[in-house]
Amino acid sequence: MAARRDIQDERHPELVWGARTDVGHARPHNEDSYADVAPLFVVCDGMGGHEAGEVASAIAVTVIADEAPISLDDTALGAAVEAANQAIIGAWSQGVGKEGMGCTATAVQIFGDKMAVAHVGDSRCYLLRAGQIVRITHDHSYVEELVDAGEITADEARVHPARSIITRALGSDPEMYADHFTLDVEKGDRIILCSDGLSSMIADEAIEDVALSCPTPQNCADALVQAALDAGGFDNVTVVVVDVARDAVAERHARQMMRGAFGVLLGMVALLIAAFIGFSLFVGKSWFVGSENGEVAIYKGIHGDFFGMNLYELTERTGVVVSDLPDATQKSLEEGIATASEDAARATVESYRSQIGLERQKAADTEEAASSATHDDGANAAPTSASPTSPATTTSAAPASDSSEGAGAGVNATSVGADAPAAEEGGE
Amino acid sequence: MIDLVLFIGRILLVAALYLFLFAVMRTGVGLVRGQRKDAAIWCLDVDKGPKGLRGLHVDMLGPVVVGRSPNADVVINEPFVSARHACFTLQGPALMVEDMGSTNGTLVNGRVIEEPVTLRDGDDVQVGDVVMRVSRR
Repeated sequence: MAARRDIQDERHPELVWGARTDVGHARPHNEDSYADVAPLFVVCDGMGGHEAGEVASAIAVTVIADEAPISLDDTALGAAVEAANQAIIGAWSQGVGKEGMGCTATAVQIFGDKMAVAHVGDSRCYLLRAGQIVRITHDHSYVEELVDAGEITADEARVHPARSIITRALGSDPEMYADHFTLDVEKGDRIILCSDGLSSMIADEAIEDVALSCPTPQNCADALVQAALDAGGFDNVTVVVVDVARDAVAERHARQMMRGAFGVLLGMVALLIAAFIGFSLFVGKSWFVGSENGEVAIYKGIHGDFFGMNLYELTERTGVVVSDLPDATQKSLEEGIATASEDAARATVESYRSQIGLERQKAADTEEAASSATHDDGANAAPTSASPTSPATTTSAAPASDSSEGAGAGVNATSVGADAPAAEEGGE
Repeated sequence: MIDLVLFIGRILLVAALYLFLFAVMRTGVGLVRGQRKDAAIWCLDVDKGPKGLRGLHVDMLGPVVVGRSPNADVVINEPFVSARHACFTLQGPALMVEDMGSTNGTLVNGRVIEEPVTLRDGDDVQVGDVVMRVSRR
């Protein structure tokens, strides 16, 4: 027999498997069938003699493979085994095979970290985990019932004269049902499906020993079949070995984590973008009045920066000199005076301009009044009538006041005090 | 424009920092989870050899290199042992031993091995004067 390699399927990278079947030393033909179509693995042990047992087991394997569910569902897998039962009964009633033909069936389906098992008869499924073998199926056989009843031991069951009597099989009772259940599997687990040609030849401990000394599933299947043959090989031997090579749970966990992290990142970015857009809309609609190189300016945006990025842009320099404004206004200009709109900003600047204009005029008026007071010291005209209203007078009066400056500071001071109310009246 | 680039750079830096933290945490969690001592199926016990090595117990959780080199996992400081003499590896559930081209060879149950050998419970592996007994948990 040519050495076979382990099989792996791209769609099921977590599984590696190998299988072997052998006719044995005692029988003329092989009535066993198996299927290894990942993630489904089936072993069927036919019975009923020549052109019956192998027909039944072949039908069972085909039907189970066709009817097997596409996701983890042990009930559906059990239903597939029951469908195989109906198919075998239907086949011999139509003349395919022989009446009375039948078979056992042990089917497993591995999806990620779970394994669905459905079985009928005495073909077994073992799970090798952390160096220990566990039989996970319960034979439907007479000797198994005796073992359960405590009448014989498992070792005695293997050599019991009635060991080949099975209490449930495919192909006889239309009402037959399959045992089914779901198990957890993890990385490093080795699943062994075998016909009774292996389990009746060597003890479970021997299976464990062999399975633990085989690096690969195909090795293991070959070695187990060889061990059964060496122990006598009185029956057909079929062994399917499946290794769970990768940790499907950890991989799924990692994928979920990555997806979660990606989602969080995406959410953060979306939030950031939304915040940025909202903020920039807000910034784009706000205006403020501030100072730019000692000059009052109108800015679009808000006064401040974010991560070193200025949140405003200069729209207009107004030419109004900041130092002409009152101290309090200068201070608030440095911090920026927020306004509702561009027009409001302009209005604010205009108010500053007129305020400065008034200040200047007031100062000029005061000085003129002071200078006129020094000039007409003796005349002492009435302050109200003398206060000029036209700007022309103010400008012409300014040089005059300059010349009068040196005349007498003391007089000037007193006259300013006297004229102040008058100037204010004029302004109003 | 430069402001915008700087701003994006800063945001990216913060994001990278968080990703790094995340990766560190994940690795840490993975390391803690990976420390399962009971997972070892096979172990090696030194039966015969120099005093310092006798009674040495090694749980097989990964490849174990035996040799004279201080970098080996089991250091046997004897003249007849090569720097990297033999290597024990886990292949699936099976324990294998391989001679790494040593001068004086590796013996399993008294026989020199030519190629990687699968070990069974109770096998003796001899490197130089040191005999290691393979056992299963």
